[in-house]
Amino acid sequence: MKHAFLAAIVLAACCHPLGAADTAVDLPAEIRQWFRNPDGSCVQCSIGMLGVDQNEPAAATLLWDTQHGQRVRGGSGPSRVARYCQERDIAVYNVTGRTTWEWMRWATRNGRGAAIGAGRRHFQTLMGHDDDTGTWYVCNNNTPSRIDAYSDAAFRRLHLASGQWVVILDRPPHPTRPEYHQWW
Amino acid sequence: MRHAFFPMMLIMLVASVATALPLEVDSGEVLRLGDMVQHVDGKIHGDTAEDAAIEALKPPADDNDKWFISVITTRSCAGCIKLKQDWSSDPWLLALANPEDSKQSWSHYTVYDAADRSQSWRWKNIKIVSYPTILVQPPRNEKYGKSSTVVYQGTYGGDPRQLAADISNAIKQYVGKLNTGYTNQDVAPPWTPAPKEDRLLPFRPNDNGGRLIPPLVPDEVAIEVSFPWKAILTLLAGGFSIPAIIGIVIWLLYTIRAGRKEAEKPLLLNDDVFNRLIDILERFDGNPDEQPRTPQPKRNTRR
Repeated sequence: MKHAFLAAIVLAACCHPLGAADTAVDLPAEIRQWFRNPDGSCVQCSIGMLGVDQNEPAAATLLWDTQHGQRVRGGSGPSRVARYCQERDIAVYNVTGRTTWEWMRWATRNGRGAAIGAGRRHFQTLMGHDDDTGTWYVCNNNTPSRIDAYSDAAFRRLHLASGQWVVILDRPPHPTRPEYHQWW
Repeated sequence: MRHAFFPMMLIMLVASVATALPLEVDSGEVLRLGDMVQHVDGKIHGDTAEDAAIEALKPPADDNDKWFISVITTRSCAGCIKLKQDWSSDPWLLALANPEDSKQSWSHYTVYDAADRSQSWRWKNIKIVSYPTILVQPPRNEKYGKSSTVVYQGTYGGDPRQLAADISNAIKQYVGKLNTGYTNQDVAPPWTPAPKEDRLLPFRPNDNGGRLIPPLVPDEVAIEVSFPWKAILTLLAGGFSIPAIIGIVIWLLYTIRAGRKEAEKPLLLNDDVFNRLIDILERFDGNPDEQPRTPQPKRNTRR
């Protein structure tokens, strides 16, 4: 028992903690906190995070009254999302059904996130996917300061629990945070 | 009326056929490549700078193969407005990025507002000196090294063709260097950027009152002696040692004398005698290499 405990401590110390910068959506925790679910607006919170990530202000400001439109609060389904995206001129892929897995893989592989059904009647933000380990990274707008890691099987259960629906912004992904490397 | 109908129909038919024709020349790629000569001789090639440039500037096979062009702007900035206008109409710039059609665009093109706090954290690792700033970075697939690498950073002088040429040339140079063994290692920027903001430290009054002129005179200076840690450690680690004992004695003498001075009690020895006593103690074992026994003055303080 004692050895197992020590081994667990050593393992925990060795594991590389996932930083937001390692995922397709690389928003710092400070920004993610802006999208803490205030009143059952999980779909708008999830899309809002993508709006910041892909620099789409009309999507980023969904939760508040701004020049981009009046705030959108409360629960949503695909038709409501389609309506307010149309009104605010936000280009999205609003995907339901069996192909959501492929869409989520496509989005994360190309540096985008996705607002996804995750958990019972809940929407969260898919932050990234590690092809090597099969790990999916998800930010829950009820606990936005952390990023949860799911195995393929666990993620499958999570996504199916809410019904297969994902929203992906039809915008270019953000660049990696630029740095100077002396190549010249 | 009937005679006018047929020519109109003919014109419409020709126009619809023309628009339906497939793109026969990718003029965007021609513009991106600029002045270049590639020698294709049927042999195995692909290792020259020209080959690398053509490979990098060809139409991307996938979203993941697209380069990134970011434009950072400010409000009411004439250059920023002109650049955005030029980028939506000039063929040289459109060959690099199509702001209106991201799917047809050769690169991922995004315009950022420097004042937007939801985006400003992205630029914390680079130095932006003026607006608009144009940044070019390699694709996310890391085929051309780290996608965080700044391949081009510049501003806009009002000549779209020049800007497009500068960007293309930077990409050509970059991929040419990669081909010649460039290693993508982290290095400092080529200059020392000014600090973003001064670090605010709590105000601490200066020990000498901030006075530089006139300088402190000797009787205004008292010596504070640091605690003889080294001597004590020597005793603990190596057992009895005369130099260490002497070091501790000297520290005790300084401490007692300072305490009596502070309490304004009469001193047992005047300064001359005290200093001679310290000298004698310091010379006692005659080994100047022994460090622990001599307490070092910590700082000069005004009393």
